[in-house]
Amino acid sequence: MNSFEFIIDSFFLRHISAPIAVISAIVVLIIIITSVAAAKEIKKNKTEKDGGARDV
Amino acid sequence: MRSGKSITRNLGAAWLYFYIHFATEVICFFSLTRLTGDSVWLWVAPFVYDALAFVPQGIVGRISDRFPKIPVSVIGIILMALAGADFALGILPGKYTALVILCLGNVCTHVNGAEVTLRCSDGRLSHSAIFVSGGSFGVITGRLLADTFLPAWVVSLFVLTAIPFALLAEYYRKDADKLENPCEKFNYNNPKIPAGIVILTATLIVIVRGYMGYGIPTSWKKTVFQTVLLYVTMGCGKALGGVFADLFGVRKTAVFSMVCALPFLFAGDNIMAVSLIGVMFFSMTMSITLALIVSVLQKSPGLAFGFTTTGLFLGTAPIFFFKFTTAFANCAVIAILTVLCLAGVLIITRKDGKKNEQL
Repeated sequence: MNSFEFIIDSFFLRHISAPIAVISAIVVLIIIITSVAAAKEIKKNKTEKDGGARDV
Repeated sequence: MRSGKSITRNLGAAWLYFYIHFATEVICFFSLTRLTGDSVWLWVAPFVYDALAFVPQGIVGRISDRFPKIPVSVIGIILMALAGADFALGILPGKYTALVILCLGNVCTHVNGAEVTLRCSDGRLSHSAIFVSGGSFGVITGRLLADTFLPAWVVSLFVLTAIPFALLAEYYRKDADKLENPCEKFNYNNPKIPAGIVILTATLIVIVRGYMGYGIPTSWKKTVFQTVLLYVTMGCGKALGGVFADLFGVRKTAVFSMVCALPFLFAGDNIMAVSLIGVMFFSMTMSITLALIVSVLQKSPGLAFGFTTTGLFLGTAPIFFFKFTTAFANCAVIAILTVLCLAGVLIITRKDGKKNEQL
């Protein structure tokens, strides 16, 4: 069995069950939401900094 | 100059959350160990627990950042006590329900612990490191208690003892929040690197550390005493990492701990004392990555903490699917990943490695 077949066999066939698939989908969704929140926060901080610099 | 009142407040908050974190991990690992005793749950329960207890911390952290009046920690303690009681009494349908409630409780106490200790720290790392270290002691205590005849409801009552501690910690947080931005002294990142890159690199380092944590060769660990010693060393290492970073600077501590950990970890596969020194050095990097992310998300320490816990989950998740069969391959991967982490830390930390003294 080559490594590709090993990954297919061990990962997708043996381990992907309904609860794992659901959990993985939730994890991906939460990571996207968290990243968007962080991006907004960084943008807000940058805007505040730029605004402060103009005031000076 | 820090006043005596702020030093007392900051240390008080850190040690209060040391206990709350300890109690949290006791009930979580007590319940998890009892649950995995059932062979059907052997593999699924830890995966579900890791996913639901680690990943949502960013979202809950963001909510806690925006609505500081919500007593997140107290809600978390009550949720965990309810889940623990359900494991004993079986009121709610299925074991998944109690497990999900337990995870949510865990999320709440962790997020609030990070919020309080970061806000009450005047930009120092040792306070959040003390909070984080409490977890290692709780994990091993919970696991050991699960193997006794102790009823689950006793552990539920035990976790409720953390409520007065959480309320006192909230008082400390309100005091720290009198400043406009209590985390503004966190300034450990390299200002030339964009904030997004700092977060991404620090999270990647946490992912690697999470993976390495499971891959460390510890053939010597055979008795209960040795397992206890391993977790106690991890806890002490995490706390010392924060203290060393405050004393010698983040950059020096990160490089020193990463470089020193490798030879001890590899040579200590069969020699406990040598291995424990390596584990202690390895655990020191814990608070450094958190401080780096907080440095670019100063107004959202809860959200920042969420990135480190998400990284921990992503680092441990592959262990559920793949495992290196030879010790050489394992050691080679750990060595390569450490070098990459070292490079990442050197790029994203300030050259002086200390906080901006002007602030």
